[in-house]
Amino acid sequence: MAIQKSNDTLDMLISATVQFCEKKIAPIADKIDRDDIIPEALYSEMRDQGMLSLILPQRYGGLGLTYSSYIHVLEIVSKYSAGVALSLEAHNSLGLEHIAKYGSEELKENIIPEIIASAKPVAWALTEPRGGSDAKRMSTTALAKQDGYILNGSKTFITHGFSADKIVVMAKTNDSISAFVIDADSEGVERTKLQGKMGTRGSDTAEIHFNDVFIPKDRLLGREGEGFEQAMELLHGGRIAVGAMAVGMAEACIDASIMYSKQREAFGSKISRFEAIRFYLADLSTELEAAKLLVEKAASLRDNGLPHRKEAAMAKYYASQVAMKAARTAIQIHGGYGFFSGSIVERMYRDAKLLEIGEGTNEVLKLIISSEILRD
Amino acid sequence: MNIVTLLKHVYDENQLKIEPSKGDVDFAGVPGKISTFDRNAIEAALRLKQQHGGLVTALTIGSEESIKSIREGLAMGVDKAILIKINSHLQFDALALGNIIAKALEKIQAWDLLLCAEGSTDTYTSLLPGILASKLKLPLITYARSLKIDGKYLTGDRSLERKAVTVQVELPAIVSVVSEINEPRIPTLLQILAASKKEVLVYTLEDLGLSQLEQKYKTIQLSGKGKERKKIVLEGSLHDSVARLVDALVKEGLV
Ligand SMILES: Cc1cc2nc3c(=O)[nH]c(=O)nc-3n(C[C@H](O)[C@H](O)[C@H](O)COP(=O)(O)OP(=O)(O)OC[C@H]3O[C@@H](n4cnc5c(N)ncnc54)[C@H](O)[C@@H]3O)c2cc1C
Repeated sequence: MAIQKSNDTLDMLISATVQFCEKKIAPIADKIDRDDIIPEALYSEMRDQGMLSLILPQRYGGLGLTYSSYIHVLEIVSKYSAGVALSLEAHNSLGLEHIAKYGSEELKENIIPEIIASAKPVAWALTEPRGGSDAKRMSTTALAKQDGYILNGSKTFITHGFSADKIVVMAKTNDSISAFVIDADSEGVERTKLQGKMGTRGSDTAEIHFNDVFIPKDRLLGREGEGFEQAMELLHGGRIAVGAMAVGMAEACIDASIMYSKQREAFGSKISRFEAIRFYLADLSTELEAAKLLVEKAASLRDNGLPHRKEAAMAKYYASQVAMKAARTAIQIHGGYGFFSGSIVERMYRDAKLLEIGEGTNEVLKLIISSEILRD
Repeated sequence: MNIVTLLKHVYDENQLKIEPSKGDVDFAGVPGKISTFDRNAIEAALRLKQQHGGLVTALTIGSEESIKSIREGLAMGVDKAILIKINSHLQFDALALGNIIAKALEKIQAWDLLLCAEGSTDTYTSLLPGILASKLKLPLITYARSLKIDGKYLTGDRSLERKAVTVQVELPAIVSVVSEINEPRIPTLLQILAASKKEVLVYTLEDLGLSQLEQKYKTIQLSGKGKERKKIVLEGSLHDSVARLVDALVKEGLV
């Protein structure tokens, strides 16, 4: 279903998402960050609200939102909790989308209703302990045997890898890479929740070891050898979605700063009267607008089936920097209060850093952008 | 159990601008929204439907713009909607609106209950439920804060200033609800998408055979009233000022 921006339906999607976040996420956002856990009840409520099937096609029971609409939902959730938004993003753009786009019809009919019923996000495992940027050089293997494959190796930094029931895994089959969806409780799967994460807390991040894990043949996504191209295609979407998260977080920092600067007084006037503060806000708002437009343009290209490898990379590369700058400046505007936990800008400052690392570091994104423009 | 709910599209009262010297109200560019307590009436209808089955139809008298609020009702779970198109929702007085609604209800076959809010957030006359009950010669429960249906009987608790009264009427009936009756649901995203596919029947006054509508009163002037704030600032240590704040609130009868 193609939903154009600023029509009534999109307005309602936005307004319902804001209401949902105000009621269900805002009251526990700090606790999610502190305890580094998203309550299962919140996943169920998000599932009921449709947030675990945002871009899933309607024929599989999803909302079938276009990227142009989906980014608004992610933007809003990110204003409240980057941890929750990251989990929604990894599930909708990567894990579930991988199955919906490349799984066989039979597999989808079996597995998608089960996923939605469980209200557990799907994890997506590409990165390995030896390195994420050079993902092609992976060492996880899936050796073919008669009725399936045997999986061996390790993945790390996997979003909600500890709490997921289903994990999409990229592994080497002979010389090429293939993608599979496995049950997290399969024999030989060992998962550890990584401790001490700086930001986007709440969505757990896990290291996963596979020791002779049997994968039935029908769990192969697409054809053998297509896994890497599939993963890269999904990452183009994922980068747009991470860009949307950045936009939401930057906006939250700017909103908080506007409010604070209009209340805080120094030298007999509100700090919002000082040119230094006003110019900070003017710069940030301009950069936010530019980031939004990049994200929206990339989303629209993706929706229309046009090439967007470069634009998706640009959207995430630029928007993540805007979010980082907005968080850093917001703390500056908040002074000492911004330096303590309990202030949203302190949390956003820790959260925003992930945006420059996950789903392609900004260095890797610049490699992509430059290779696209130089065509070499 | 077929239920009709009245749904009104009103100006968002939080965004009205009032010219400070004369008190003129500036409606230009003020966005519309669903009248706040209509969401309570819809919620009450949906909960009764959940228990007793049937259909919920929303009825709106308003301009084309009302579609926006109608869609919100449909997204909450209303099954279908009827819009009686007029130029502006401030065009008619309560009596004329009562006449239009009574006529429009003829387009809905076999309904058992008409639910509306105690008042709309713009004009707030609270006259409509009474006018409709007398016009249709049906029993009326106003200011309901709870409703229960048992066979052909409807029992409601009426929320009055200093007392609560429980009454029972036979269906079909007219009921106005207060906001305490429930907490309106947030529409799910799936329902929002489904809402755009639900049926909205649009009629004009001519379609209803209503070309001449009698109006009993005329609004001569509409002006906003500013509210003087007390602007009390409590200075001194936090400990003392909190104690004095509590005292002040108690004195004002606010806590
Ligand atoms: C919170 C969190 C959640 C994550 N979730 C997931 C997930 O769900 N699934 C998943 O598969 N992965 C996930 N990741 C992993 C993430 O995608 C990787 O961390 C990222 O791709 C970088 O890989 P790396 O950490 O191994 O860094 P490395 O690849 O080792 O890079 C280290 C540094 O070297 C730079 N570098 C590397 N190669 C080059 C080059 N050619 N030119 C210039 N500079 C270069 C990098 O930019 C970086 O600065 C997550 C990571 C985090 C932190």
